[in-house]
Amino acid sequence: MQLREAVLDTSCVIALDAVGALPLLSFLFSLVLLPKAVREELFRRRETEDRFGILLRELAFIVPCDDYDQAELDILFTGRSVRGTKDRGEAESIAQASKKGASVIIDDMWGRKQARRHGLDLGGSITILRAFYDLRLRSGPELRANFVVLRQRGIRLPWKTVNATLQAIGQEPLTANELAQSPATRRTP
Amino acid sequence: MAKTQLAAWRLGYAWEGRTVSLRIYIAYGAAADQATALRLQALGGVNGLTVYVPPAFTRQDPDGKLDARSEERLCSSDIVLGVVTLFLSEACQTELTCANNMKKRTLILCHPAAVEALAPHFAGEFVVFDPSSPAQAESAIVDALRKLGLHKDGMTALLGLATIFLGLLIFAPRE
Repeated sequence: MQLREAVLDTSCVIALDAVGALPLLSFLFSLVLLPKAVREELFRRRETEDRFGILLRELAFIVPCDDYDQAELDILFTGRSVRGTKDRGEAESIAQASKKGASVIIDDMWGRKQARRHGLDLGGSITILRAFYDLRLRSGPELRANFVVLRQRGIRLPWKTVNATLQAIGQEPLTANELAQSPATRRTP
Repeated sequence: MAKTQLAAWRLGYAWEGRTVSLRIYIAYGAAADQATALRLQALGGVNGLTVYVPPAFTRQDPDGKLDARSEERLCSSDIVLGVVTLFLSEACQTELTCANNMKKRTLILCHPAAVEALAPHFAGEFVVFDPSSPAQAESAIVDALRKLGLHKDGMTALLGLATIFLGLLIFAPRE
């Protein structure tokens, strides 16, 4: 059984770490790759800087990757402007996944659209957490609690899809009260 | 994925409705073995075991020095489970030697490829898990567990983890 490699975008790293799920990625992927722009974003944020320094030292299967060049990235996105530094993480994730034949795990809508356009095997925080439920690594109530935490942390997810996922596994969808708990000022990339 | 799912299901079934209060320290061979150890930790965790996996950077220390947290967890563990599939790092050797010195119940499971590395240090103290003969491996593990003198639930728990380790070895890609 050969597990795939996966490239993770910044928002997914933050989301999965918030619910203690990063070590569980070893069930799904042989290696988790973090492109340079993703690492830079993580280290640029005061609240994640120390945390991800530790994670990279503690988990051997999460590794940096810089295995592409700028020309490749330009070719990949010919005629389409990468929206400044904001989309840099997503763009590098896609370039890296294309080069390695890896899965790409992205929550950002623009990034997901680009990944589909390039025919990549695509996942996001929701599908990853659902996979952990299917593997019995998270129970239904735990999964629901995880989504509540993500909402409270201000992680941007398609909450209709979250609720559909919860209902599919026999859990109550997030209530209006729970959905209102997101800090309005916090934004994830 | 399906095979891992089956293994997860199997472990869940074996321990359904039970809480086994055991603190297990996983001394894995090299950094590359950490993923296997993390999978065992997750499966043990959802089935009521407290499983500690030392951080990867300890495997990169040429002197085999453990960090303070790992040392503390090693001291407080009930069982030390060695899992060695590639080679024996200095840190893993330190952990297993400390476990022996502290008279911890220790079970070392290794792939045939790692026998040469383990033999000079832990002769007769490890169980070889040959993925090509799983039945033999399972009976060897049961014998080894009997020698540890665990209570029934503890033995079931460790047998579950060991069986999954065997499954992970069977289905893991080999270089």
